[in-house]
Amino acid sequence: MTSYWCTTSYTPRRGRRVMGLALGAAALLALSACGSSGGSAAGGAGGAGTAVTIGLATPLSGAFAQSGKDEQAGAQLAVDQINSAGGIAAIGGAKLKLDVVDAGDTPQQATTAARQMLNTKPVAAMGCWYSSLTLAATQISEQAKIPWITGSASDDLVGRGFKYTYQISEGINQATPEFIKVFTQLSKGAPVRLAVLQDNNVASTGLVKTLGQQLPGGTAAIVSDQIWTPPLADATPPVTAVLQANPTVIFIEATSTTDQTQVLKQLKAQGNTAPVVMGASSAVNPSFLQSVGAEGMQGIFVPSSVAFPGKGSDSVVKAYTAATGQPYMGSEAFEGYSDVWVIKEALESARSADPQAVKAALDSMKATGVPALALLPSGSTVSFQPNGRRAGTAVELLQWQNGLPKVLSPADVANGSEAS
Amino acid sequence: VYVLQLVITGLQQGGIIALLAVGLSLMFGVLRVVNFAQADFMMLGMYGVVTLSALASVNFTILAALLAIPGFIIGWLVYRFVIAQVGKSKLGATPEHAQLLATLGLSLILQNLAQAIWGATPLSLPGTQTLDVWTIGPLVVDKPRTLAFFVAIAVVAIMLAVLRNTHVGRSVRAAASDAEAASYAGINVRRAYSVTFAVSIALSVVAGGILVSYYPVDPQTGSDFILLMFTAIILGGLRSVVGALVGGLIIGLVQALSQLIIPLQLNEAVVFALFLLVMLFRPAGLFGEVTRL
Repeated sequence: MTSYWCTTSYTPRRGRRVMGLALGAAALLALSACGSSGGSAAGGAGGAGTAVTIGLATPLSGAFAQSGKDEQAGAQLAVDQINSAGGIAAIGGAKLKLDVVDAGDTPQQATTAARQMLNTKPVAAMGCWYSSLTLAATQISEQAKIPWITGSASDDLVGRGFKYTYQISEGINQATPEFIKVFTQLSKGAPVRLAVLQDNNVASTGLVKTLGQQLPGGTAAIVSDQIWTPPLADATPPVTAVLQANPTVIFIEATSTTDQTQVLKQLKAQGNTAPVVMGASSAVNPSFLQSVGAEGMQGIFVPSSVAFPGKGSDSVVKAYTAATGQPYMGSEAFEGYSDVWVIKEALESARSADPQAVKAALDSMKATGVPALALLPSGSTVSFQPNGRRAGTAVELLQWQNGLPKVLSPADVANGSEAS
Repeated sequence: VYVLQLVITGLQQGGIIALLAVGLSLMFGVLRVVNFAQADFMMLGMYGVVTLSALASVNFTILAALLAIPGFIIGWLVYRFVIAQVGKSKLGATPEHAQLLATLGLSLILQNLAQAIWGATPLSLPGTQTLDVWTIGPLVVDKPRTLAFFVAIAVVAIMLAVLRNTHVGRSVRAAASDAEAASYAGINVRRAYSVTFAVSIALSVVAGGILVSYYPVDPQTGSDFILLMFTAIILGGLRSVVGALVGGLIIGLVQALSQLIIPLQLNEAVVFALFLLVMLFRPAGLFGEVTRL
């Protein structure tokens, strides 16, 4: 059939050449640039009037940009608080300076960003929120021998024998028993019929695979498992399939806010009455208030390996919301905030802005009674295990209540109780 | 019942891909421009409707239709001051290469501009936090997607009627066939090109305005659709409006129905497998025509 308006002959060779270029350009698009949002000062020895540079690599563009910006805002709040309180007392009141680079949304971009940032010789670095980015960036920090603090939850971060990576959150695999406990509780005594809606992100499939292995046989089973490659074109088929399996609990393990939003709306549209649990710690991001609404999020449970500000955090949250205009402080912002305070304590202990001295201070850290760090689960004393993970980390169980995630457990940071 | 559900879902999804692909096809057919910023103009349409909805409680379809006007103006300006200018470049690149790179740059500019204005958080249309559906027995029919489907069909029908029956349409067709001969016949080819580019952008903006009724928008949303758009027009035949429509619908149907035999996570791979098959066995697409040199 002839194309409608074209009466001349069509030469496929020319069209193919152009489309070939188009596909090449697509590859260029995928590799679109990551940039830096700030300059850098040397992280060398400080003193009053000098600055000690902390590097932050976090996504400022691409799919995870909002999480990255939140992390940056949390880190900046901590820097401002520390500087206004006199800076690092042990090195002459040196002020902290944040050198922020864009980790983008691919490991390649994160690697480039980490290399760029570490070239400026920060005393320590932090980021990148998403585990796959952090795994890539910490390869560079390990080579550069710069301590890297992160709230990312991948177990691989502390499973590679690296000496310069410090993880303040609980590992994702340790969260599995907490998930099973929640599923059992929500099934109200009936056998657990778990329906899963997940993307095929490595962390998502890994978690669901572990769940499948650890669910108690005979009393719990995965009755439907719908896996997609992001972006999800239409949530109708997977949600329909899940609801037809008559689940007692629905578990959403997806990384994209757009996908999560579509699934939640579709569940509601199809009249779902089964309780919903979301696996990604980003499921407590304030953006859900806009995209799904407080009513749509009401009652959803989120077991999170990454800490969320709970009991005692009112003043920090107030300062954060005043500075950013966000309705509350999410776990991304809290990660940035906590990371900076850990580095601050290491600097005080090291009495030096030398990265090796800071590493030694982190290895031997026993930070007790630091108000900002006490907001973490088991944060009354902060120390690190030999593999780099913080001692005493715990999974927090959160529940959306009236437009705000509340921490239900562990008890030392809980600021709410379960709502039906 | 499940198959019927998938057919409905596939047609609905295909409708919006078709609406997006029609503009791209029109542009390539007449101007030979591969526009990588096409989906980013769609993204601007999505933001436009979200922003206007916050100011006035007007139905999103009306807002989307109204946005066709600024979409047309922006398209006209972009063609006159960017695409046409780089097409005349004497820097050694062919016009196609220069224009392709220009649209790539435009895409990055639009994404960063959107991020600067609206931020990176996905935004939804106010009042659409609950999805609107018809439940017909066991079938779930999504209202916004159904609307998008019918709008797509209507737009293609209007487009064909305009191309076939109006002076502007005949000018565009003549310019597409042979620009030099058209200019000898007194047709203002430059204006025909500008109109084509502007209409193509306006179509994307309108499609975005419809899409945002069920799909949240962020600065990267265009990248969720750009490859599907290109696949649709190649599948249908690079320079055919009807082909773009059919290509879009086929993609939607294939994505949905493939779930019957292939895991959901592979449905995009199925689309591209189909694309490769078409390239192998019918390289000009379903509605294209091959002429051997």
